[in-house]
Amino acid sequence: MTVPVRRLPDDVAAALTALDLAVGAVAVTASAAQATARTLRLTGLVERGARPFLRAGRSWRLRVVREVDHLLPLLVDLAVRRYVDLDGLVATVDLDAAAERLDVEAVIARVDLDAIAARIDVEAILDRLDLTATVLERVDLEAVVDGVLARIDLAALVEEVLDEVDLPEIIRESTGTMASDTVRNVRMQGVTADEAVTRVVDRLLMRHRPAPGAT
Amino acid sequence: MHEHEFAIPKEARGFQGQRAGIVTRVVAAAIDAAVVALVLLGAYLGYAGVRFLLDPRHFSFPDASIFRSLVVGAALMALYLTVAWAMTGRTYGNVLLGLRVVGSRGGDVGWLRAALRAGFYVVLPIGLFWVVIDPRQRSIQDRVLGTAVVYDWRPSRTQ
Repeated sequence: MTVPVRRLPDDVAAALTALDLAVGAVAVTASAAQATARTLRLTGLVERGARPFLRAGRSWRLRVVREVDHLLPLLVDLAVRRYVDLDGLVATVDLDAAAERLDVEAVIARVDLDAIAARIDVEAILDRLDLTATVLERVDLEAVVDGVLARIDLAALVEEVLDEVDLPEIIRESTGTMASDTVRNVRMQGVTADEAVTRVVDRLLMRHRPAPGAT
Repeated sequence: MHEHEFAIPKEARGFQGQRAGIVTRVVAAAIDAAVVALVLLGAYLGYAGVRFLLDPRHFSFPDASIFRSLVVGAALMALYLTVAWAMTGRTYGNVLLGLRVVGSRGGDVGWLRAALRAGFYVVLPIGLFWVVIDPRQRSIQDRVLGTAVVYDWRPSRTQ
């Protein structure tokens, strides 16, 4: 995998060459000075003479480092924007392979599913579903009814209802009233007819009956 | 004779215990005759049904000669009247018409008198019509055996 970097402009290449030259000159000079000092046993002298330089140099270095610390992010940002083709870079990444390495279970374990579920508008979802049609098409209604019936003690239920209704008492009351009304009428008519016959016969036989009620 | 008046309508309370007339007694007798006839018919059909079940291929309705039917019917009638009068004083016809057979002093007739009365009625049903002429509404049977028939609308015997 190669990161596509735009070719450096010519002026930058020249600057780098100049830098290389300057650094090389400084390095050569330094090693020459070091060799000279070691040969002439000037180390102590040089150390002493170099102290002010070292001090000034350190303070400069610290300042420079501070500045660079500030500037470097900006510079890197600018450089990346300018020289790196981020879209191209991303295009070369095998996201599938990366996804394969991803432990999705672990990710899910970190997610608060309850909180997410709480944000779901269940009512709206239900409104979009035709539950009646779903039940009629997908549910084995016979099996459901069989299951319900198997759980209900129908005999006990019927017995309970009959206990509440007391059907025999209702039948007895209604038919009893009806029958006794009919019987009463028949009996009254019989008594009236008896009296009529007795009156007629008494009159025919010229019989005088003292009072009704005599036995 | 007037206990349990709550079961008897007001207009009928006045004549409870009085002697019953010819109309109610004839109607009651007719009902009893019908009951016996129905029982006879049922027995005949039951007998025919049993015969059919036992031998369906050669089945024919059993002979029912008039004479034999009358004899069996009379015996059944006598038995029915005896049992009904001796036990409750009333046959089914009596119950419907609100009548009760009692002794001359208002008590039970007893098994012997009930049996004699039943046989007498079966042999001489026309004796019932003496009720029309008799000043105290007695049939010939009542006069001979010292019984009477009174109005009694109470649902059951209370003694």
